[in-house]
Amino acid sequence: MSSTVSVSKGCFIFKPKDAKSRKRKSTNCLNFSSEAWYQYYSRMWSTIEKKLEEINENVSQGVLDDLAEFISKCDTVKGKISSAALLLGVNMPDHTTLFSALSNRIRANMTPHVAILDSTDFTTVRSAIEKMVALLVKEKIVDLEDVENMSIDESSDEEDDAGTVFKKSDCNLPTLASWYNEKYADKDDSNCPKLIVILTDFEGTSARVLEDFILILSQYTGRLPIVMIMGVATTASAIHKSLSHTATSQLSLRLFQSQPSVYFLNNTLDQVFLKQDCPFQLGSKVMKFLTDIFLFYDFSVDGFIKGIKYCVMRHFYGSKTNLLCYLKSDMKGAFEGLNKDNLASIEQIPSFRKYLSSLPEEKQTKIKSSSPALKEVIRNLMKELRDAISVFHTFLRMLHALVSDLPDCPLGKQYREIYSEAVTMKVSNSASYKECFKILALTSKDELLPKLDKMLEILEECNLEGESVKSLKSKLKSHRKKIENVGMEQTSRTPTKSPSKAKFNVTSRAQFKEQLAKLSETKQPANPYELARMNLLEFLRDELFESTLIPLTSLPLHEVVLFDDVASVKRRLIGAPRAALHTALNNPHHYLECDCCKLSNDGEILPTMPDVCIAYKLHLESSSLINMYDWLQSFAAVVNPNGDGGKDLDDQIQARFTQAVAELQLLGFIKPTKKKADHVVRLTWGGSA
Amino acid sequence: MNIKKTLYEEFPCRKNQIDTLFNLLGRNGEHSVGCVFVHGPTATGKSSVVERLLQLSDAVHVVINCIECYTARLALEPAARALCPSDTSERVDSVATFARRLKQAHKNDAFSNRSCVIVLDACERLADLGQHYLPAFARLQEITDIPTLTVVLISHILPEKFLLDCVYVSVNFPQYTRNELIDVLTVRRVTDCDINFYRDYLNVFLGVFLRATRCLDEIHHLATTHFAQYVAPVESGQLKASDVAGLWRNIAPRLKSSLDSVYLGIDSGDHADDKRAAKRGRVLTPRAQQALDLPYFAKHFLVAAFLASHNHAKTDRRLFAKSHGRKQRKRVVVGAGRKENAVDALLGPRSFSLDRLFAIFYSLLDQRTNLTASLMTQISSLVELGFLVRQGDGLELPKYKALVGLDCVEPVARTIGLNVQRYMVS
Repeated sequence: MSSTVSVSKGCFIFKPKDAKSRKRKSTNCLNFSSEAWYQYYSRMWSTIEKKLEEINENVSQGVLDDLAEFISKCDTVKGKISSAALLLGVNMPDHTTLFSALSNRIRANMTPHVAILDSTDFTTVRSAIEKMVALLVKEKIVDLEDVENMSIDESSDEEDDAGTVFKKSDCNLPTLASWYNEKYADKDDSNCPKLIVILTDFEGTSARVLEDFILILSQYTGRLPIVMIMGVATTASAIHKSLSHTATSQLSLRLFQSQPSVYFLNNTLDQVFLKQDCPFQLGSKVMKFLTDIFLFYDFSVDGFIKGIKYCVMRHFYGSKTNLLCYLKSDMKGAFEGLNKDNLASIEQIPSFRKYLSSLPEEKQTKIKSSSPALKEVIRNLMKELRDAISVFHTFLRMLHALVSDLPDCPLGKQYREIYSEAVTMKVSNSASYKECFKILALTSKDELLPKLDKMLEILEECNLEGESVKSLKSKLKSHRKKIENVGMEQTSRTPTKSPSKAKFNVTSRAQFKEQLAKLSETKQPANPYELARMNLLEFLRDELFESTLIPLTSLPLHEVVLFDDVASVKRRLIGAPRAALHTALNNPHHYLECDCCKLSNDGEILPTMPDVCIAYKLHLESSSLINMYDWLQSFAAVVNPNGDGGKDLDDQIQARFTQAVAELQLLGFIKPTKKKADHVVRLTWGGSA
Repeated sequence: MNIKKTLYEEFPCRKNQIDTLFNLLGRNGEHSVGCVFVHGPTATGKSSVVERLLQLSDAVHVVINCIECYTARLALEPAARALCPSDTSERVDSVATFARRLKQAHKNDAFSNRSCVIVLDACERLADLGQHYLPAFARLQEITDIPTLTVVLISHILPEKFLLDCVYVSVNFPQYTRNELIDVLTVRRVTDCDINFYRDYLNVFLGVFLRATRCLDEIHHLATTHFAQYVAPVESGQLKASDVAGLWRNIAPRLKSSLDSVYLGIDSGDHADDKRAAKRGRVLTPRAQQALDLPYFAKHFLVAAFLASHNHAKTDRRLFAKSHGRKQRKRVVVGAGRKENAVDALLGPRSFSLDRLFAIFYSLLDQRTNLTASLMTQISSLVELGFLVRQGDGLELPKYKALVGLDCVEPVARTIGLNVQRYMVS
């Protein structure tokens, strides 16, 4: 035991000898990285992630362009800090990516001096300025390394400079100014790189500190080309609310805005998840759930994507059938990887069984008996399913192009809305679909033509094969041509009498009304455009969308690619602390899983339950004011059913009761009151929530 | 005399002050007053006159802006470096060290025939460092025993507000009058055009803006930004330079519209540029700038918090209970609380407890939602965004106050189909 010999007192830990072997065991059950489901999942997610990155770059490109232009253009006038307010929307965690993209871009193209400050740096003016100066000057070190790499001769005297990187207490504006002047002494004023200060979170920063910060910076505007960029989560008026006139008059603000967060959501869904080339399809319920979280709670695209990530993982986790939800590149591997187990579970999928039962008897037995035949069937079905998904998305997008800008948007404005309608039920049967066509029957030629062009464009873009699609395309084209040419032909319409000219031989108001009604009933003969429109709409309704928009849930094997298990996702993505607390106290067996606390019905109180649970269940039965003595009596009666219930209680029981009550108070269920002696107030009402 | 003349030219309408300051500071090498207090509203030329005067005169001087001095060292070390150059790299972080350095320099005859001036701009900020700094500086001459040393304190606060226990000469810089402003702005004009033409412009310009601000910096900034618009019709030949009325008609709407943005620091920039950007949907229209985009539940919470803060708790039952008895809601809105009104308006938003907020929230919401963790976080995010403020530190039953006004809540409420006025008692 020489290792424990020590002069000072100490505490020594000896790991048990078999720790290693035990550890290996425990890691074994967590060692999922080599399992098939995880590999499929990770491959799937990395492809999705790649696409997400691409899209994110494109989306924020516009704002970044504007800001870059602003930074390069803005002139530094004495007394005014040129600054940009960037209105980003309320979800702040999402902004970090934007800011890092911005700073990378500025660093790459314009100036190496960028300081990103967040609200925690603004506790005092001193800390804010020290951090800012340190960050602005720090870029020099990075610079130096580049220089050293390029030329060895200069490195010696440059290194001396590097030695003068300031101490923290020396990080103040006079040193910054002298450092800057020294560094760019030989450069022209207009060529000097600017100093960019980015405040990520305006609302979080203390207004008093920020005001002083601005005033101090404004003292140096003549000497240092400082540009400030402020991330504002709410509105521009927040700036004027929190800063005084003296501070704001030092700023020369420009306002910029990123796209509203809903736009990010729609874009991500449209471009990544609701696409035919995404092998993983979201069901309508799950999608609605996730978008609800987004719209109702947080506006966080980040959170939304994490939610989908969970869905993807959930879809694959431990599943034997969902390995078929492969990427295109994995197709071969996926089918080779199918073993008997997998095939058996695929056979159990409801939609597959339904499909089988629709086949003739002998074929069924053949498929069931031999696994190669079964594999072949599955392979064909999967191919059909993929094709059906492509067709579905293409034509749904066409429908979206057709109806998205109708008044009142019966089918929804966004693609995701129309998708969630169409994915589970046949959209052509829905009332809103019919409503859409009613409205479309009134559209003018100028409105209809661009829609048709857009539809054709969508159809053109996707390279769908198959005879039916081609014939539909040519038909649609011919309809379009007809409509376009309607006005060109000479019409031989006889001018109809306009109602104003029609003579009314009426004597009474009622008669006049009657005649008017009659007049409106008599149909005007349809003009050629109306005829063409009617033909087109009939074609669209009865042929184009009828045959193509088959809900995905009606296809065999759809469970493999479509994830719609909303219950499991909901439980994990939305925490319900009060409900969990209630369950824990009301039914401790749910969490403890002990035999002693099994409840036969909900209202039962067992003496074996923890004390706090007993007290809680008893307090549920009372009204808003609880008499402590009565409560104690009933507590004692539950804990010790054989007791006499008389006046002298066991001290131990009383102590246990006191502790349980204290715990309930800590959990926020009761609080003491002065209204009535020996009573406590109940703070919660209603059971489940 | 030369110095005075330059100063008169550079700073019109400040003759008296220049004379006084020159007499106090400009006579090099003589025994001088220990402390001069220069005060007056912002942007009346206090600092600029003093600084320029010292630049022109031969005095050893240092100007310190006290806003910058969040530590004493930041104030004292530059001063010590400027007044008594020496090789020691000693830290100067207390007045005692500073005075010692000055004394040493005085021993070495640094100030024997020269005035020595320390200017403390925005000297009210010195109080943040510690109570003793301002009195110590005010009596620095006495402490250091240098007869030629003067400390100039500049502040926009009256000297009487400070407890200065010493003899000082106060110099007041009054606010510019309208005519004086025109003179000053004419001197400071950036464009070289006819003086009379520019004065006409200023006359027109001040007629609009003088009611909003008298701050010279702000006016100067506004005047230079709008001048290009004013002069445009003359340059294009549409109007004659003498046609003041025509030019006024041309510029008036623009001036009046920008009257709202005085002091806001918002740079309207090039308008043609803006329009192009607006087409691309990136630069905001003023209305879009005001619109607040919040998640659905957060909007409800904001409205609920506003109502909880501006209504009495006892009216909740009348306003929000589904069946509140015989009284009609409409009558409540019209007739209630006549007496309370006057007092209520003065009290501002009241604080309310969390459970009251939830009660109102649920009654505003027409659907059931469970009280989940995400729902609870809405409140703290509203606090973080500055819409609510949390009072007290207690974990149990926290209290909140709404910081938003009706002008902010009403549009938000409209987007979720609520009419706030319907739920307001007063």
